[in-house]
Amino acid sequence: MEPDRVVLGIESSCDETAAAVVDSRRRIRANVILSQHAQHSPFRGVVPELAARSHAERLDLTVQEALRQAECPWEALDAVAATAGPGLLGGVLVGTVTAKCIALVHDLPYIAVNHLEAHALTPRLTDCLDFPYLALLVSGGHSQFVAVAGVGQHALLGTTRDDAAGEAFDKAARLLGLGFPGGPAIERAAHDGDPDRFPLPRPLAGQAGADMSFSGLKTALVHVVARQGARPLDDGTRADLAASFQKAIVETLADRLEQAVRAFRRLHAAGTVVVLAGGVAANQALRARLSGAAADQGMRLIAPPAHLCTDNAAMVAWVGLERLADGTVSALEEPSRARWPLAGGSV
Amino acid sequence: MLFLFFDTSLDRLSAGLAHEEQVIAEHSEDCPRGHADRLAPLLRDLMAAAGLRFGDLDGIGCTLGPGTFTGIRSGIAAARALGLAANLPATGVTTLDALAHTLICVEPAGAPVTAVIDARRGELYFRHFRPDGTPVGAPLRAPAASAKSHCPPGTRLLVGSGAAILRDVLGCGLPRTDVRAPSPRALAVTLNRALRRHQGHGYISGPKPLYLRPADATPPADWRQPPGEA
Repeated sequence: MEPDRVVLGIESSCDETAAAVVDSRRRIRANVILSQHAQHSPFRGVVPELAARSHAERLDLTVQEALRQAECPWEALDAVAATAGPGLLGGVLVGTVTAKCIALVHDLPYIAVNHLEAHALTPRLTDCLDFPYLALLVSGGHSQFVAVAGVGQHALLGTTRDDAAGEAFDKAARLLGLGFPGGPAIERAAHDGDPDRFPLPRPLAGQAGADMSFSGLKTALVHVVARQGARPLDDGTRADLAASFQKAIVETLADRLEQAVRAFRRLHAAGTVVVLAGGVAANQALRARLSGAAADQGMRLIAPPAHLCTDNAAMVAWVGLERLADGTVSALEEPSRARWPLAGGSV
Repeated sequence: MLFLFFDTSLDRLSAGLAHEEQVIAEHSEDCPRGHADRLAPLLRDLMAAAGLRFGDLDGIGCTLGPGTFTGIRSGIAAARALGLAANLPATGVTTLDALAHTLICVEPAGAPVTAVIDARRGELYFRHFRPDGTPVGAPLRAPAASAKSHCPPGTRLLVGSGAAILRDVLGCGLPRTDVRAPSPRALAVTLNRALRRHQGHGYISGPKPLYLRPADATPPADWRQPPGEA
């Protein structure tokens, strides 16, 4: 039997400074996340330079804290993995330099991890899921359907033509005077709202192909808000707008899922699982609706716990473990990249 | 005191190993961008060529800036990670100090020195030094046009990428345009002094970056704390 392997993971591609220690028995021994939300909140969005500065000043102690919580000495590590893209390059570089230097000191393999693959493979950590499966990755930077056939084996089935779903939430929250990040803010506000009061479009609904589009939805919301008059929105109207907007996104994704399942089945007739991952996957309304939509297609929905859907380093460490088992580790020369598509064009 | 040092803050990448002030291995290359991805392989090769392991070292030294933001962060992140992983003290000196010593450590200056970096957007980063290298005042950022008011009178030696600009503004001074980035020797001399204070200690806290310029980010004029957010 293969001995336990232990990997340190590092994540710094957006506004979470994170380090985690995970082992090959799927135990998350530590999962430390320092959020920068308070720093970016005044700007209603992530400011890349501020994010990078914050990562540089906090990542070393984040790593130290993860190792302390895991009671893991350096000697117990088998590899160091870091998100090497896609993401905000200034932050990514802080993470990859840190990982490479730790690997150098302790003569460990370095593993450059694709952030999207880390989200896509999380259910293999949390639910022992086998390949293949269909993954819907939804976050502030990405919205895509991917057929996941193995480590490093992904086929893009559909992607957004404009904004990512999380980006749409952020923009809507800004418009409604809610907080940042927009997803949780809209979800909180939507809780007491009427999702059917304001009819909003369902972009691309019923159309063939699994692509998505959210910018028109945001524009529709702008028009609806404008029709409310010049006075500030009252709390009830704001809640109804948030609920209506959230429902539009959720219904759109449910409709697109139907198309994506068809495309997925053409590749993998025997596949039965849909994975929902990425920061937007923390949205409870989305989880509930897609669970039903997947069941309607004869599929089972698996969504990792919310804290492993938003950015974290446990998922990065997990990809490190998968790659270590594959023997596909990276050279210290491996570049960091702002853009790093998970898979080629639509099939 | 045996230590590893590097400078990633300007458009050259320099790294080396030093024993006290003596450089025992060094490498410098032009590096307009991409310091971060180049640095770890370079340090690996330097250590291997010298036959050293991190356990043989007494410290890690880097430049703190000013310079390019990403370059500064690459060096800071590397120094912190190496210090943490090897349990070694990690510290830094300003790029301006290392620049001034690039001149001072090879020839007696005979006059005050100002290290000055072209910060772009019509601004300069600079710091003044006595002929022996003792700094006078803190590192500064100022528009080139008003830099004169921050400069003591008298003829000065000017080093760094902003030397010619500052000479034109002051109307005097001797630009040494051959000194544009810190030399390995200057890095060894300045970092040896900085690290000596920490000798024998493990990693406590990492060096802090010296950007001198804030991030370009202004909150929207109508920003207020969102409801329900602390």
